[in-house]
Amino acid sequence: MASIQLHNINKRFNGASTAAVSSVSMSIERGEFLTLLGPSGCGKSTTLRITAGLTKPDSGRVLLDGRDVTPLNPAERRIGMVFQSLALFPHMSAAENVAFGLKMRGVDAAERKQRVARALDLVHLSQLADRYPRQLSGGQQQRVAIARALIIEPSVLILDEPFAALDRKLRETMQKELHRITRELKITTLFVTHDQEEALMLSDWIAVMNEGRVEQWGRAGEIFEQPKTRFVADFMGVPNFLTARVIGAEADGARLTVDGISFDAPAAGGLAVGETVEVALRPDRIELDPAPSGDGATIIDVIYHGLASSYTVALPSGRTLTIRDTNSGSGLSRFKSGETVMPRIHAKAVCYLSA
Amino acid sequence: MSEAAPGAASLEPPRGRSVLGDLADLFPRSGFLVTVPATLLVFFGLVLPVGYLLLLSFNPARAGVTDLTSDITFANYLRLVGDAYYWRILGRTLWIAAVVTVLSTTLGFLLAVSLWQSNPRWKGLLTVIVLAPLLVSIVARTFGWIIILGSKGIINKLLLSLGLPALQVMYTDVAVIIGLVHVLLPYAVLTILASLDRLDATLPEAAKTLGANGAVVLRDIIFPLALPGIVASGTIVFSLAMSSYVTPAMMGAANSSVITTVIYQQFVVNFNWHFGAVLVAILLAASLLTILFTLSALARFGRRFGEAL
Amino acid sequence: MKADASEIVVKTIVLLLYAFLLAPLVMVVATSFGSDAVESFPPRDFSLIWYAKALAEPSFMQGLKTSLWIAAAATLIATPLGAAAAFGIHRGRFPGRNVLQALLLAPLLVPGLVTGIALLVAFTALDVGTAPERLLFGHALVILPYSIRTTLASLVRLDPALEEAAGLFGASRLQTLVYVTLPSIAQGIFAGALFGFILSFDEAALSLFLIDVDTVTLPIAIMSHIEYSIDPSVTALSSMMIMATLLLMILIERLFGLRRLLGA
Repeated sequence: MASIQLHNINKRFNGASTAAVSSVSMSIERGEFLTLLGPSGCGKSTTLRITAGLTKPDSGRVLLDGRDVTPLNPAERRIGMVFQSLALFPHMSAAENVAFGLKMRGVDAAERKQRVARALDLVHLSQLADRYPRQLSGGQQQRVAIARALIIEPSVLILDEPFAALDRKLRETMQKELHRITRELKITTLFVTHDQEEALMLSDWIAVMNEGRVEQWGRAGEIFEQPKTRFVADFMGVPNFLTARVIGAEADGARLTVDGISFDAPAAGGLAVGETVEVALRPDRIELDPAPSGDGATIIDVIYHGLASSYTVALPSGRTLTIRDTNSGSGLSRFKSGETVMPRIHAKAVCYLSA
Repeated sequence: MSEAAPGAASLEPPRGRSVLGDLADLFPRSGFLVTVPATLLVFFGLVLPVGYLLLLSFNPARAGVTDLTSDITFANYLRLVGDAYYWRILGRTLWIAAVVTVLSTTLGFLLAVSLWQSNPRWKGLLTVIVLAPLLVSIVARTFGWIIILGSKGIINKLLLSLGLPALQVMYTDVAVIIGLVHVLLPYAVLTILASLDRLDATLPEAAKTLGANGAVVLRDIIFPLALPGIVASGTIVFSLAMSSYVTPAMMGAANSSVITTVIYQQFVVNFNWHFGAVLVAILLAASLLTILFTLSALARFGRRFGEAL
Repeated sequence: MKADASEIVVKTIVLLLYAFLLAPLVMVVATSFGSDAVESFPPRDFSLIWYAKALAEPSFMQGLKTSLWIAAAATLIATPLGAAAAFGIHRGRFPGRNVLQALLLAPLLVPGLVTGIALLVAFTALDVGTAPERLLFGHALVILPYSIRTTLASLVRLDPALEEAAGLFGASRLQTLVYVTLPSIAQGIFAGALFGFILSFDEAALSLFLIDVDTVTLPIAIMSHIEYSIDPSVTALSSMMIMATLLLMILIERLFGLRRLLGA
């Protein structure tokens, strides 16, 4: 039975010219981790709020564990939520914050105490139970928010860009923490972020959203390896958009050409020789061979990234490609600006784009 | 954390209670209900009485009569217009208010900028110093000025000890101006500070790295951007100065009145309430005009400066 | 960066202004400690004799009592009324909301003198209210806008997610109000109440028209006393008022921040 199901959700806010959320549908099983990924304004937060019940959709249904919860209030949906601002009650201690959901459900004091202790233990915050939110660091406040959401044993855990305001080191720590906790408890999780690395690291499933619609939906690996639209490719860091001409289309592979360079590509249905097709090329699957003869592409910029370097390479036709190449054993970039190289595009570099 | 299946019996969500939906639902129609007591207080305490008073100004002036009658007359207003004495009073009131406004806004601007740029460590203390006069009773403050400016006051004692002639400052218009500036300076500072707080605090530094000295920064950078706040503070100070009673009453000359002291006289000494109501109407009209004038001026500024407003 | 000449000039002016602002307050307190029958500064000796005389003076003590209970009662009336109104203005969705807000803040725009006279005329025409009742009514009216403003400021700063979270975790509307909303804005409401108390205590212009022979507030008692004689007991009394106000002000600054209270 699916744990979260969204059927054709639509929402337009009063006075807005475009819909915030348009025909959004998706579904995941119990225990899986789903991330809504996209830039600000893409509708991911609205979709999350509709799933949580904080905002009512214009049409569409939300099902949690097979139950149609669309008419229900947030408290009746059996969810726990971590808000973007954390929303920790400032006048209550960490323990009191965590206990709040239990208190509202009429759990007696003694049992509350026990459960709170266990919850704080889960997030490694037991010694700080009596501190107030203002006395806690950013990361500690995050943990309190997570404990508060989990203690009521929800069927779904919902998090709205919780780590956006943290610095890099802390963000990495919290991401690992969340990964550990959700896998340990096997709890169904809905997560929202604009950071694609974070999405890839935490999720089983990703829905990439843009302007209220889901552009691509699939397993994390799929989204990363095979972005299907220009927007998704761009968002996931796959540049090099070009229109190539098909010169060979077989069952086991295809052959494309652009600017006089030919290369292999994966097999794809609907390819006809002579037609053009939109593709994006993965920068890390294009190899660079030295071309001492001076006949080839010129390197016009080098950016050093430690383990690898990004090269902006200008083809004889004038088109530029971004190529990522591992650095040599001594840690230095293999090529310098101004050198001539011969790019070799692997079949695995090709992502077919549909829009 | 137990491994129990989600939704175990002990943790069922609370049933049968209305739970929070969108935030606006918290007080949809009942939002109006809770404002009713306060509205009644203001309506019966301010709107009706002031209305009554203004209507009274159109009744014939008869000592001791306070009920509204239906004889409408402009006699009271005509009396005001025809008597040069009251024109002089009005003129003096406006003149004093204008001087106080110029002084308060200029000095207030300097103080506000100084506070805005002050070291955070001192900012709290300095703010308290600037705002202290506002919360101390106006009577105590004015009394303090009497001690300083009086004929037997500190300043005169100092002058006499130096062999200089004594200054008669107390019970003159100058004393009133000093007293009013003291009372209203904090208001000016507050209003201008509110405007400054919307500005990027690093602007003065940026200007200095480009070679501007302090005066240029003040005149060409801060002043234009703080202008809306300065104009607003001017209005507030002018309006308050015009309608101030305690300071002119305690520090001004008995024969050199402002409109508020004359109003007091009419109501408490002469019992000519109908005529007094006319004076009150004039005072209210003047305040209102000042506010309207400034609002339109600010609207024009708003278009020019956008953000800074 | 080093200060240039123009900055030094401005800094000097500002320093003088701080002195100007404090001067009368400092003078009153300083001269109150001398034993001379006439204020002198610096006082020739240190004595609390005038404090004793001030506390013994019946008109002053009567005035103090009246001012204290009126301030307390007016605050107790204006604070809940104002806080409730602020909720209505902030959360309500009814037509004319902005007009209502302007109306409720109107007492701020009308000079105390005018309000006092208007009330005097109205009370006399209707022939209602004893002096204490009239004073209480007038003071509550004058304090009300401040209570509304501070509660409104607190409500605006409140993170709406707090109430959403409370609801999400199972609180009913009433529970949200009691457990989350009110505690979060309590400090602001209290600071506003404290401010209202001070304002009422200091009030003079409005009160002048609502008093009678038997009911006088402290500032008015001082004003009358000054008219007939300036003896140092007034100084001692004023000094006590100043020190009490300063203490309360520091309390407000810690609780809420003076500028937020008076500014926005």
